[in-house]
Amino acid sequence: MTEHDRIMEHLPLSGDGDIAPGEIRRLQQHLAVCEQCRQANEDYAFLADTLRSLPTPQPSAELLARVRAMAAARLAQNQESSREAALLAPLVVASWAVALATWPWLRAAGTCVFTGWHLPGGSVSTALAAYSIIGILMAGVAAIAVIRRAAAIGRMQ
Amino acid sequence: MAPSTADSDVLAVQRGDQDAFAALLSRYQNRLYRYLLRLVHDPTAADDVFQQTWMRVLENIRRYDPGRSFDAWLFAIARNVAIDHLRRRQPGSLDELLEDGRPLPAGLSAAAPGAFELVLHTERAVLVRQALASQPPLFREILSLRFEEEMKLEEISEVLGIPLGSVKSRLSRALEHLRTVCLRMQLEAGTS
Repeated sequence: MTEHDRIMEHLPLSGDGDIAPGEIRRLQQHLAVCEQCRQANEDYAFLADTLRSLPTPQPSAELLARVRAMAAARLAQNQESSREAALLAPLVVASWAVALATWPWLRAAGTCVFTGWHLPGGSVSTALAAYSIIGILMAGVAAIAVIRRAAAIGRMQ
Repeated sequence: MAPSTADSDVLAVQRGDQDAFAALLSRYQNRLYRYLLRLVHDPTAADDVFQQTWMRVLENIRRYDPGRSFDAWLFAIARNVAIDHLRRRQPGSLDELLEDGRPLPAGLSAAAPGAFELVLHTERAVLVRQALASQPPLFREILSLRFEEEMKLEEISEVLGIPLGSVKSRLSRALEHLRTVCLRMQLEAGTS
């Protein structure tokens, strides 16, 4: 590749300082002796200036009104989701706390009630543990379902 | 350091403030619409994409990191929505959006000199506007980001999600292509 070809390649970016400082001097030296590159350089500078001064198209007032209305609904929904999330988190934690707090009582009560029962495959305490875990899982699944539903409604809007 | 007005508006929108959203929309509406119009090149489509962009912004506003440039974040979202639209309208690889497929007239090369020397100054702007309209979408896009939005190359790299070297190369090709198209249009006008 000749020096001329290399300079031609750099020319489009030269007008706006988008080439390395080391290249600028080399470019200027070449432009001083090459009419073709000098002309091309002027063209690129003109293109850049013209592109900067093109009229800016404006969005219509109806479009902006539509965006504002949709945004108002969306922001209200965002706040509602925040409130739901703020409510759901303590609920899940509370369900865990209640399950843990009542576990000794349930175990004692269960032992009394079910004395004499022979549950297949395990003890009364295993059954109660399973009951607690299922309850907690259901609470968690319900919370996730509510959050996903809120998100789906948001996407539809 | 105190946050800029745009930053404080974004933070307020994250808290659900509708007035802050109105301020943000007002600040960016013209720039964003111009960028989208350059990219999709159809006012009706630009309206749809503009609306979808703001909805996508509100869906994701809580995930916006204030440490990032809001301009780059907003334009990257707009770009994704617009590219989805272009893909639906014209399925295929994005690279195809870079080429217009028209051969240059015989004897005319991108390196030909004097694209504008025969055209009056007042006619040049019209010529450039027409030539810009005939550019492939991704060339129109990068020219708009660099010269109309006055974005730095690093910001453009963030918006387009491509390395800085690719931004330079694409911008260079876009300018070269624009100049060539101007030359071709001038030549065609002269021979008709």
